[in-house]
Amino acid sequence: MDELIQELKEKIIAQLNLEDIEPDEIDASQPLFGDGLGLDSIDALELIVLMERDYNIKITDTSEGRNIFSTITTMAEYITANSNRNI
Amino acid sequence: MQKITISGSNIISSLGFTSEENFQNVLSGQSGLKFQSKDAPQPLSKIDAEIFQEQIMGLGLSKKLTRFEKLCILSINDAVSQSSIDIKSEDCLIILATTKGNIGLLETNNERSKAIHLWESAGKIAAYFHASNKPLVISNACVSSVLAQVVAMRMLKSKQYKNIVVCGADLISDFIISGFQSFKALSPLPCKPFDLNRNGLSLGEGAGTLIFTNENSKALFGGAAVLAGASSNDANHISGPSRTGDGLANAILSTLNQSKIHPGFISAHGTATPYNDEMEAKAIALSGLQEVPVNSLKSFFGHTLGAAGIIETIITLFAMDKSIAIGTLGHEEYGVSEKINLISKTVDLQFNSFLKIASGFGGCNAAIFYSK
Amino acid sequence: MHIINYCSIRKGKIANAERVLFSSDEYQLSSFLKSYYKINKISYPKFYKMDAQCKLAFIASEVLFTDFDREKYKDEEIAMVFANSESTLSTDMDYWESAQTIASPALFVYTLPNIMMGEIAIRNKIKGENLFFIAEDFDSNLLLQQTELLFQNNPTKIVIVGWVNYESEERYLARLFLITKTGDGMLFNKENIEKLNKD
Repeated sequence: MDELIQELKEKIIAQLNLEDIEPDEIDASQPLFGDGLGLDSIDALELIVLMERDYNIKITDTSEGRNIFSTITTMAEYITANSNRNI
Repeated sequence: MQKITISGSNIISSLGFTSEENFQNVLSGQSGLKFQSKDAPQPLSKIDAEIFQEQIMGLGLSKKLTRFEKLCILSINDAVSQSSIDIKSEDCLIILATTKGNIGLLETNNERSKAIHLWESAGKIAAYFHASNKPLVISNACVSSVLAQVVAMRMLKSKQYKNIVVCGADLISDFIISGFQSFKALSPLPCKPFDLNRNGLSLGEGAGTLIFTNENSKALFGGAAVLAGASSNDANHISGPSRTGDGLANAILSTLNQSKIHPGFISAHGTATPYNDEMEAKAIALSGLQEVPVNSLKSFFGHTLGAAGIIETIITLFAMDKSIAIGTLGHEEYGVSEKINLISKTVDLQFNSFLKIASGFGGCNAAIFYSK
Repeated sequence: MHIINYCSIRKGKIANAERVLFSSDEYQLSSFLKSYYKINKISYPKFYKMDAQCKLAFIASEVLFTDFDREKYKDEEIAMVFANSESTLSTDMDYWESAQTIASPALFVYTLPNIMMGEIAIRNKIKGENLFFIAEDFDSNLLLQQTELLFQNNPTKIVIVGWVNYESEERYLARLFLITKTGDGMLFNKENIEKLNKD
């Protein structure tokens, strides 16, 4: 799980062009949206792209996405439960 | 002051090839939104390919022109044919308004070709009509053809030209469909503007042309004149509509400030995405226009992007002339938090002026005001 | 109409009025703009999310607004008239490539030329009129005429006039002008625009 969380931090930084942020600066339990990392609606859509491309998980309902992308931990938990890829 | 009136119009869409035909189909409650195949993920509003081909043959258009350019030429040609203007004259300007023009060309050949440039398309269209002046091209997302009307009005008021032909057009392409899909913005069923169960927009394609004139020539639509218009920016987010509606309200209030009168009707953008309709209702209320009858025509034509503003303006000009309020097809249960006077069923209604509004990516908003 | 300030970005050089602010042997636009961003300690994380053309417009606007008394004007009093020749062709191609596998919404949003005005509007809280034109070449007549028309309509008091065109990392050009209706300073006319464009 820790490995997946670290991997997600790096992927999110790359996918969302968060250039000034280092993986270690992100707390896996801090909210991704709102006050936390301050991501916006386009970032949320890009996270859906990331999930499909790298973990083969399709999220069609954006309201479902809101819960999955709550924090990096919730993302990791969802991936572990749903991924077709062997982690 | 000299009035700026309309001397010709055309709509080409899934609902027909003239303004009149489109209006009649809207009046009879017909939607152009169709599932193009059995397993299509969403309905689209597409121009009939066979009739389009016949019309092109009729004009003997060169094979070198793209489908987009042919569409614009057909639309302008029909509008000009109703009018007495001389499109070749130095007193006449063509303004092309489009969001993505020839973007479909990328699909067969993903490279930087001259043909894909909008100024190149506009040049070919102007050359077909032997226009004297270099055409203007406005590309301002989904407000393009409302903005083009505003620009035409300003240029005519300052007497720079006697006639301005505004053509707004956009085509459906995989580029456009995939983009809106990536935004999860497409409704799996025909869109339901301002409805409780709305869940996205439906795409359409089409063209609309209006010929604006400040000469004393034959005026269509009972002499309706364009009085005022404005644009604004939300300064909030590059894709999400403002949560307060203040950006669109700024464009509306700036327009009303010029028109000095309140509109008798509003043709809304009404894309049927959850956030757009919510924002728009707030903007209408913020502008003090809660009581004014409002409709959205997106469920007839789909969202035709850069063409939407002008197509919807033309339908509303017809409706005003014939004292009819077109209902918002597909609307069943009111579903935005702010109360506005949404017209769901087509009814007889006399109004002497109307406001056409639009909003788009980049936080842009635009409004135009017509009066009898 | 008077020019309060103007700036340009071309061939590895950022110039404000007659002063070269920043130059680099590195013509490659993206790394060049990033160096400027870092050296000038601009703190605006959204910058990294923009496509190259918007970055070009954004940095140019940052330069243009140096010393501008923004607070003197209401949000609605500042308008923008922009134009270019490419629309967003480079990003269109990048987006279409992404769509062959999984379409990227973050690229799709930049396939509209007016997004650059949206970015500048958000950064500077500008809520006035905005117009985007496409023309084959830099067209001073068009920009002059449209600016003049905006001043005839309230509430516009300031117009940002821009030509921002990105073809590739080596071929790019931004020219921005900050214009007032009345005041002093260089006249905003065809002759002066063309003179400044030679820089």
